[in-house]
Amino acid sequence: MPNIPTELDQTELAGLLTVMQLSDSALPTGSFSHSFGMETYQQRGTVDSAASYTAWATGYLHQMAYSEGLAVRLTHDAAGDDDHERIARIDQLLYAAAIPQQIRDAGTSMGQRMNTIVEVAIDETSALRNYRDAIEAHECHGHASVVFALAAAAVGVSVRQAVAAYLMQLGTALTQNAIRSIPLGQNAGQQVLTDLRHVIPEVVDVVFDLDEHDLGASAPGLEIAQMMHETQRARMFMS
Amino acid sequence: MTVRPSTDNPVGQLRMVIEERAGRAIARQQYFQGALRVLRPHYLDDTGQVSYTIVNPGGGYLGGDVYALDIEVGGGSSATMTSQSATKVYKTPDEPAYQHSTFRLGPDAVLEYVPDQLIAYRDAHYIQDTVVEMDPSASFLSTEIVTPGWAPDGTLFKYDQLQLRQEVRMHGRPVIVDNLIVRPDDESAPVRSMLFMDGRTHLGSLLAVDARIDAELVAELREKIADALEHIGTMTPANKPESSKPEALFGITLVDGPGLAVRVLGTKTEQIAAALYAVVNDLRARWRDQGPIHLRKY
Repeated sequence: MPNIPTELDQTELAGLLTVMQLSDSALPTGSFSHSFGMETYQQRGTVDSAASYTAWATGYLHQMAYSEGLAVRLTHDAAGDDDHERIARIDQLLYAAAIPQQIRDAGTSMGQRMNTIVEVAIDETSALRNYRDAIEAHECHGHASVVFALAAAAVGVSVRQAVAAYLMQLGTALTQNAIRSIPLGQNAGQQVLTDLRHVIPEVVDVVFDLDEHDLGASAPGLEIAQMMHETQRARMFMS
Repeated sequence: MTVRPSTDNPVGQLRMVIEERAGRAIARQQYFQGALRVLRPHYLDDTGQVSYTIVNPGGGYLGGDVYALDIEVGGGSSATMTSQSATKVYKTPDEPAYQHSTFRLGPDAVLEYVPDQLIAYRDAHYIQDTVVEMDPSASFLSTEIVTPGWAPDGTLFKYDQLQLRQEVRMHGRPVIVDNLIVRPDDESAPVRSMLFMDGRTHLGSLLAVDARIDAELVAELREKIADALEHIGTMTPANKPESSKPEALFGITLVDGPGLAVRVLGTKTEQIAAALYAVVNDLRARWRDQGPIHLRKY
């Protein structure tokens, strides 16, 4: 039996609840319409079952360490120093490093939706306000991972928890899409999600082993699948 | 995380400032030391574009080796940089081999950086950082071909990892970050393989940044690459064992430079080269009325 931690105080509880709200797969960011390249593998027949999807999603989450996972960590760090310039740079690098057009567009559209949600959901901090102003002024593009990290920092959630929660949210959203598109049964879906949950701590470790040079690094096979999706016929997803 | 080695004491260093003089581009300043040098320039057509060939007399990159290139192409001048032979990265037991390049392009400058393939041997770890500082009116293109080295027994070496990172800046702001991590397929981790080499052994990558690039051009080039790969495919006799190898895969996309990026995965250098040079040569003809880029044949 693991030790039961001491009870959370009111602030910690508020932080946990905020992260739960922002990690909900029903959060209206538009994630239900993006497969991030998975649909190309489905069309090729290499992702067609719970097992093959779990394998693919495990690889995908490992890849997310370099982009969105690392972006959460770097943004959370910068939010602690209220360093808007660094936050703006992370936003620019993240956008610039999203080479496949559909991934770049997905990042911006989900980022702007996340920004609107957080505006409603979180008491504003100067870091959040500066980022929102920069998006409105088109100095920043907007990315969900940056907004999420700023929100987590605003409510006092630790950087490791923020990274883990964000990755779990990615895994949940993707799995919901796999359940609909492969399709998978609901129980199979929960089994997959359980497997992915066990992968996330490893991915969090990878995130903490990287630096800004690694931000947005991608794998060629995944990028090709994401690019090929642009011309795929009969698509269910926008990416 | 791999901490970037310092470029203060490189094994090889090359600095050039290329400018136009009397209708032809030429290096006004040129400095090289150690394991990098450059051959005398050539002019391969009547456009005034200068062509330089980079030479690595050392023969290959070893662990801890640092190479530093700094090439400036002044306003209105046009240059092609190639290499004399493939860059070989050998076993790097402790530290990775590292190359840092800076390319600076003035207004309306043209730079095509088209080196021969990079051959990675067993346990090779290599990092290549490239920073491109360009005026928005300039035209930049670079290619990379990555192949595994052959072991004496005829199998392909398993290199460790390559990171090829290219950051394009305009007015000091990062506009495009082309950051690829390349790992050979690993039979014990088929998942990773699907995202990395997907059953193939050879990689090609191309980045072009030019204000004339749009979605329509990307669509045209997509057809050109498909044709080039199909042509190469039909040149391989059907009875050769190679016909059992997986087909080449490629993707092309519009980036916000504007620019375009191409990735190709295949099983032969010729295949990758055919796909990438279909794009290079199309753009040369389309924009500057130039013939195909002059390269050694594979």
